[in-house]
This record gives sequence, structure tokens and C-alpha cells, in this order.
Amino acid sequence: MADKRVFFLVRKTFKEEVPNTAIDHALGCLTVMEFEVEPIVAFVEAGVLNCLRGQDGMGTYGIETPEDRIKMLLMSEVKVLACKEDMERYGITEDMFTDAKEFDIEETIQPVSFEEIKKSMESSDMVMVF
Amino acid sequence: MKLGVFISDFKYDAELLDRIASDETGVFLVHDGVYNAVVKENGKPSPLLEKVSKVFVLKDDLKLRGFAEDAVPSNVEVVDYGDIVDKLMEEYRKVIWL
Amino acid sequence: MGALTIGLLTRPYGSKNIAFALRLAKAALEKGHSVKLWLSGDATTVAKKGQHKYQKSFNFEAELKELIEKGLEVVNCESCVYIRGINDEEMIDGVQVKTMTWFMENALSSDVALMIGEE
Repeated sequence: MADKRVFFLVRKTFKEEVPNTAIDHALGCLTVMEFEVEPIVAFVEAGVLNCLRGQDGMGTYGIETPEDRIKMLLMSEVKVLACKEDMERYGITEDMFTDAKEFDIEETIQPVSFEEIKKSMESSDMVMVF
Repeated sequence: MKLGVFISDFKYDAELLDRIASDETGVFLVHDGVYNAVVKENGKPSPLLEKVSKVFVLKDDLKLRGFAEDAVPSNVEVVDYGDIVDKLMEEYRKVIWL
Repeated sequence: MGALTIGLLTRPYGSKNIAFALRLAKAALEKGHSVKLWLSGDATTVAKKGQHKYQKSFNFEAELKELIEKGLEVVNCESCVYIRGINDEEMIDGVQVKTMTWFMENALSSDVALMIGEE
């Protein structure tokens, strides 16, 4: 069990830099030397749209997308959650989510209720909203 | 641990606040968030004032927008920056910014 | 005495979030707390030298210098600041450049950590 848990709540979408910044901060937790940190990233509200498969950053603007970074989270064994109620609201099903299967990673984005997200938030040492 | 929530907009993310607020949540109204303490929309006070157990409003941001402290309802505490520091250090060590 | 870490993602002059963060930092320093300020995203540009004060506008460079003298530790996110074309010699004296790992380590070691996001 990690010494500290940090909860990243992501509600912003593509136009803003913050979904990527949130993920970068979460990845930054993994290289903290002083203690062991467990980051959890949860996508809520319209933020669940960041989880969609097929984002073409390189073919359009030549940039990385939240999808690319979510793959990095999954490859780094970071728990990634998406709010079930918000998925339903925006017509998103789990099969529309990205994954990291091409890298042989079994972990996927986990759809959970907001109640579960809240519980996890409450049990974390620190919460950051993006 | 009590959660402190900074609200800096008049039209804030009410949905998220509704979802995360508990009996112990304290809200700090800063920047345009202070309008929620003093402006009545269609004659009604901001629903935010009923949602959480404690609401604080930053004195300088009220004055900046032309409101006097006596415009603030009695269930809202007027604070300065030093008071916010004390409340964070003593009570609301887990804080988020909406 | 306690430790406060403030993270900022916000644009400097297009928003008043930096004014808030600096005043909160000042109040905490005056109470004897240690304060660290992490500048990420567009907030990194507030640490650039040569900001002009026009009439009665904010001048965050002057405020930062004053607070650095009082003990505020200001750290720019490495990737965020360089991507914006700001080099080390263009930054206000005393501003450091580090990675997100530094921020997370310090935020988690603090009594209070506040991340002020984009608006």
C-alpha cells in the first residue's frame, strides 16, 4: 500500500491544456522518491470525453492527445476511473473507451458510479481538480 | 478530513459541488464567487448558501466589487487572507479550487 | 509552523488567480509558514522578467520579487516554461525550474496543498 494517495478529478475537455496537465501530474507522482505515491485519475462530467478511442492528434495538429496520455497511465498501472452517470449522459459506452491492449496491458478505464469516485476522493490525502 | 472548496466564479460548477459536498464541507468565496454571498437572483439568495455547513467570503473581493460587509448574510463569515490561511492550516487541510 | 504549497495553472494577467495566490502566500509567510509556489501551464509566464507596470495595474514581477525576498520558493514547471519560449536568463532572479515530480513531492509533504486550475 502506498504512503500517500493523490486523487485527480478531470472535468475539462480538449480545448484546455488541463486534461493533459492533470495526467502529467499523475505520472509525476510515480517518480516521487521521498515516499510511495498512488495517483488515481477520474474523469467526470464532460471530462469523460477524454477517454474516447481514436483521437488523432498526430494526423491533425501533430500533437499528443489525452488518449495517448491515458495509455501511458494504463501502462504505468495507474488506476483510471470514469463516471458511469456522465458516460450515460453523453451516450458513451465502455467499448468506446481507449485502452493499451497494443502494449499487452490488461488494465482498462473502469466505469464507476460518482459515489465510488467520491469515496475514493475522501480517502485520498490530496485532491486536485482540473 | 474536512474538505475546503474555493469558488471563484459567480456561475460556478454547481453540479460538482452538489456531488462532492458533505456536512463538513466549507466553501471559500473568492473573486467573482463572492457574488454568491450578496447577489439575489430573481429575489432568491444563491442556493450555494444552503448547500454546505460553512461559507466564507473574502473581504477584499467583496470591496473590490462594491459590496460592504453588512450586505453579507449572517450565515456567511467575512474573512481576510490571514483568516483563510488559519482556516486552511487548522481546519481545511484538503482543499480544491472549482 | 506549517507548510503551504500552491500550484497555479492559470493565465497571469487574463485572470486574477495569480493575484489571489500571491496574497494568500504573503499572508501565510507573514504568519511564519513556509510557502512554495508551483507555476505550471500558462502560469509559468508570470515569472518572466521585464513586466511593465501601466498606471494602476498589477505588476506580478514586483510582487514575486518581494515575496521571494520574504522566503517564497517559486518553481516553474520545466516542460511548461520552455515550451513557451522562456529561457532561464529571462526568468525573475530566484525562480527555479523543476519537474512535476518536485511539485508532487512538495505538495504531499505540505500541510496544505492547493492547486488553482485554469478558468
